[in-house]
Order: sequence, then C-alpha cells, then structure tokens
Amino acid sequence: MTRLQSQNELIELLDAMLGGEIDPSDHRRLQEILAADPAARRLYFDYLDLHLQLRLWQKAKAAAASVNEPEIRDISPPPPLFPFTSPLPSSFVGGPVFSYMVAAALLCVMLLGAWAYKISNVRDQRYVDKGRGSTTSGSWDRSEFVVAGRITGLKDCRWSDSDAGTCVGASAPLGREYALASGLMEITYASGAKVVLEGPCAYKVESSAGGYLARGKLTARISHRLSAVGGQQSGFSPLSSLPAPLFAVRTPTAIVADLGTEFGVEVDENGDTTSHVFEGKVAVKAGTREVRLAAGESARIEYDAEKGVVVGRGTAAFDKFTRRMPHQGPIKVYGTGQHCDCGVPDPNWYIASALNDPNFKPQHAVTTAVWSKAYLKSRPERAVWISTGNMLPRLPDGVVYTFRTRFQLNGSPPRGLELRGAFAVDNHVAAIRLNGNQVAVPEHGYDSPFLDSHPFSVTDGFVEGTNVLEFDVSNGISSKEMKQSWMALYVEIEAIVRPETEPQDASHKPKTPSDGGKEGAR
Amino acid sequence: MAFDSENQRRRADDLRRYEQFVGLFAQTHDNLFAYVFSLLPRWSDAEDVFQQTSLILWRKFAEFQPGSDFLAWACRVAFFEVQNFRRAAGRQRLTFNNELIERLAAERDVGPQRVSLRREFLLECIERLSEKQRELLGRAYQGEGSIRQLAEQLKRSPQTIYNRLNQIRHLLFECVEDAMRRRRTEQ
Repeated sequence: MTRLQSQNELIELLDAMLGGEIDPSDHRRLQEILAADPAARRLYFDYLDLHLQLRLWQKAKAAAASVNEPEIRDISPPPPLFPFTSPLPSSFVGGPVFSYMVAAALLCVMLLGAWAYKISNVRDQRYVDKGRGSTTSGSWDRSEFVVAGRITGLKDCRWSDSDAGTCVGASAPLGREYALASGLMEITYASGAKVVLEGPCAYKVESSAGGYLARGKLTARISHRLSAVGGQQSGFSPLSSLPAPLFAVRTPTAIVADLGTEFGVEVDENGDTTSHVFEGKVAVKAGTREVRLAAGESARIEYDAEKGVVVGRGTAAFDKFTRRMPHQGPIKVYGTGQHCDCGVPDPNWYIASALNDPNFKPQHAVTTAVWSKAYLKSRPERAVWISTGNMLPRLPDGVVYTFRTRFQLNGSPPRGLELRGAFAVDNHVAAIRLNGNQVAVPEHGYDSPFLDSHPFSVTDGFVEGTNVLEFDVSNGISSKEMKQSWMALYVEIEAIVRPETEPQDASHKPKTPSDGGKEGAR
Repeated sequence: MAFDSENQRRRADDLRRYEQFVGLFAQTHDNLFAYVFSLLPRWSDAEDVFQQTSLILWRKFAEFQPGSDFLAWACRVAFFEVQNFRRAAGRQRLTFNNELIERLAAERDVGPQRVSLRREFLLECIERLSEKQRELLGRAYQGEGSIRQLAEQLKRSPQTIYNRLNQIRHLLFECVEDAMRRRRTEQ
C-alpha cells in the first residue's frame, strides 16, 4: 500500500470516527494504524486540529459579525465563570449539519478515490488535436497518483469550468487540467520549474517536467541553478528526442523545450504556436523540423494544409507575457512580540547569533517585562520588548545579538513596497539588514532610559519568497565595572505599498507605525 | 473592627485568585480542549470531560505552583479525567485502549506556539480560498441548517456541496501542512 493510500484510509477512518459512525472493526483498524505508526499519530493530531480550528474560525467570524451589528446591544453584567463552555457550540456536534458533514467527508473520500482511479487509468489516453495531431503526450507510465508540483500563486482567477477551482498550496497532480477564463496562476514543479498561466488558457500537467498548452499563454521559468547543473529530470522520457531539456511545453503544433532559463509560449485559436525566449535558449520541434532560439528571439509555428509546417522567426515580445506573479494579499510582518504576553517565546522573532559569546545557542526570542520608567511601554497590539528570556535577563557585555524575523512575498515585490517601523533598544542597534543589505540606522544613544523610539524605513532589497530582516543589538555600555547587563529590543513594523503618486524625494520622512501611517495593509 | 477587615482581606484574596485563574484559563482554554479532544475524539465526550476538568482545575487551583506551566498542569488533570470517563463509559463507547491513550497523551503537543502557528497558517490558507469557497465553508460550519438546506439555498445538489466541502477541507489540510513544512525548513 502506498503512503497516499494509507493516508486516505486514515482520513476516511478519522471522518467516520469524528461523526460517531465508525463501526467496531474500523475502530480496531484505526487503533492499529495509530499504535503502529508515529506519522499516523501526527496526522491524527493535525487532522483533529483542522476540524477544531475551522469551528473556532467560524465562531470568531460570527462573533466579529455580531460586534459589527448596527443595533444597540444590551450591556449586561459579565456571565458567571461557571459552568465553562467548550470553545465550540455543542449544538453543532450531533446536530444535523455535523451528521451531513461526516456523510460528506465519507462521500468525498470515495469521490477522491474515484478521481485517483480515473487519473490512474489515463495512461493510454492520447491528445489528438482535431485536424492536426502533430504532437502526442508519449506513453509514460502514470499508474499511480503522482504530484508533479504545487499551485504557488493565483490572482483574479476565473475558471472556465466552475468546478475547477483550486487554492495556493494545493497539489498539481499529473493529469490535472486547468482551464482559466481569466487571471493568473502559477504552478511550481517539484524540479523548481515555474509556469505562469495567463487566462484565457487551457493547460494540463503532463509530466514532472512539462505540460500541454491547448490554448492561451504561459511563461515557463527554470532556475539558473538547475540549468547550470543540466541534469536530466526523472520522468522526462516523453520528450527524450530533445537534448536533455529541463522543461517542455507541448502545444497542438509544437514542442517547446527549455535548454536553460525562461521562455513564453502562446497558442492561438487555430492552434498555431509562437514561442518567445526571454533568457537562455529553447528548442522548438514541429514535426520533423527543429528550430533553436536564443534570448530575444521568437518563432511562430503554423500548420498549413498544403505546405505542412511553416516556421516564421521574429523577435521576442517581452511585454506580452506576465513573467512573474505579483505578490498578492497583505504582507505579514510582525513587530517584536506582537500579540504576545510577557514570558512567551516569540513565534516570529529569533535570536540567530551572539557575536563574542561562544556559549550562545540560537533560540526564539522571548517577550520580556520591562520597567516602565526606564523603557518604552510595550504595546502588545504593535510590539513587546524581547530578549533571551523574561524579566530582562542579565547578559554579557560586549556581545552583539542578531535578532531575525522573516516575512514572505509570494510573488514579485510590489512597486512602492516599504517597511516602516520604529525601534527602541537596550543598548544599541549596530546594524539593520534586509536580506543581507544594510539599512540606514537612525542616530541613537547607548544609555538608559530607553524610552524613545527611532524610526526606520526600508524601501529596497526585497525579494520574491522569504525575506529576512535582522537587527544587530550590542549589549553593554562603556562602564568597565559592569560585566553583565540587560539587553532587549522593541520593534514596531508594518509593510505598506505606497501609491504610485506618492513622492519619494529626499525630504520624505518615513512615518512610524505609531504615527498612524495607515495607507498600507498588514 | 478586626472581623470586617479579616473578611475584606479574604474577599480580596479570593478575588485575586479568581482573576489569576481566569487569566491563565483563558490563555489555555483552546489548547486544553484540543488536548482532551485528541484523547476523546467524540465531540460530546470531549465537552463533558473538558467541563469537568475545568471545575476540578478551579477547585485544585490552590495546588498550582504560580510561575509553573499552567497548561501542563491542566493537561495532567485532564488526563485523569479522561481515564475516569473511559472507566465510567465502559463498553458503551468505542474508545482507544489504554496504551494508545497514554501514547497520544505523551506525544500531543498543544503548546501555544504550535497551536498558534497552525491557526495562523490555517487563517492564511482560508484567505487563499476563493470567496465562494470561504462562504461555503463558513455556512457549513455555522450550524444554522442542514447541508441539504444549504444545497437548496445555493441551488446545488447535496452531493455537489458534500464534494466541494471535502475538497476544501483537503485543500486546507494540505495547505497548512505545506506551510508547516516550509516553516520547519526555514528554521
């Protein structure tokens, strides 16, 4: 039994159990699986958490909606402490909705199985384009459900097929077709190759290193690292007649195979194919003909009933394609200890290193209580002081601690993106870096009291994917007697996207979060 | 009036204890329920045990060492309540055997960081759903009516609704797992 089958069986059993509809034999089976397999127990915890969190999410949503109700609400004394209530409405469980959901879950596990079965039986399927039939998908084995990659970006997607919706993070299995009426969608293959589909288009994931574009436009990008290695991808057999490409797009009239980096492919309503090379090289194969294109070149493949394949060469249309998914949604960057109480590990800030302290081990920063007369007051909704532990632990002087936080850009950095923030520190911020690039640090001192916040701003150096923001905090002041002293950092921060019209001249002073700069969204 | 001042002092102490307990309990409420639910994955059973545990925690609060881990203490109390419940329920309930319960209890991590991370990722994943998917999910978990009624409202067959809900849950589960994996890789 494959791992996926085991997982499906486990989820099926869990759905039955959660609905109270599991029979004794299935219960025994569930118990056996859980007892034998630590991975199954982890999945068990995670799956239960999902159910729990979904109910909490709905409860919070309902509570928020009730707060927003316009009518005047009765202000009553708070309810007595007891009896305690569970986090979720008891009426839900055992109620008709719950029963239906359990039935739904069981039904859907069956449907999922049927879907997997359907996919597993398409091995003999061939794409024969009406009237053309010039390219085929090959005959590779697709005997089991295989994930070729994941959906890593969606923007303003409308689907030609109303049931074809997906979400970021979902798998892109072999055989899956995506019919996009409009919008953008990015698939990242396991090899690292990225495909940006631009609606309207129809695309099918055909192998772990390629797909079939029936119509519309896409851009395929293969990382330099992969290209440099030049290794043949496993599962690439269908296009083996081409010289070790890393990624290939099949269309009704051609096969466009990457020989390094980035290209665009467009298939018009007649099935005619135009490929544009943005970086590196591609090989375009149509029937028995093969054309090699370099960066900046394009080739159009037409099929003429009398002449056969007609190849026209031109220059690449760089602006015609969307080559990168823009970042979507809010950019989540957290202040130190934001939304935390004192004394707990900060899930978002990490102390990565301590220069001059050989005994230091990297650790999560810990939110700490501070003396209000000497330190800026923590505001948990924005930031809380952090250190290596609660209650301001004494730490060796002369050590430079590097505090680190990360945030994600799930696409190319939007224009006008800015991190605006303010820090307070005991004793001194020696450097601020974004992705290793230095950021200007405002003038500030070393000595207490640490009541002032110092604004900072970051406007460039952002990258697609994970961004790393670091603060180097040096501990200790000039006093030679003191060998250990308190060290802590407080950072309020927010990511905003400036409107294109906002001036960026030298006189522009960054607003700190405390100033109430609210153009952007967190 | 020594008698009155003594009473006032007791009342002040009670109030302080009460506030301390409520503060700690409120912070760990969801995590404790998650712990109980993982040992007794039948909703009504978990609710019963959770409520009983809450009462015992309050009664025994004097035994709690201030500054120590309240959630760990609460989980220990809850574990015994789960065992009591299993004994009382006897053969009326399909529950896990003792060995598995102990293993699950030992391996269950309901630490604030893990739970809050998963919650955060789930919220992100929910945001990534389409508006229609979110609406469907919200309505299904609202408990206002049956799936059949929901299907009627949406002019869809119940089977379509079942299918979509299942698909959404699977997407979310996969999305959260993926985010957790990425976080582990980054750190």
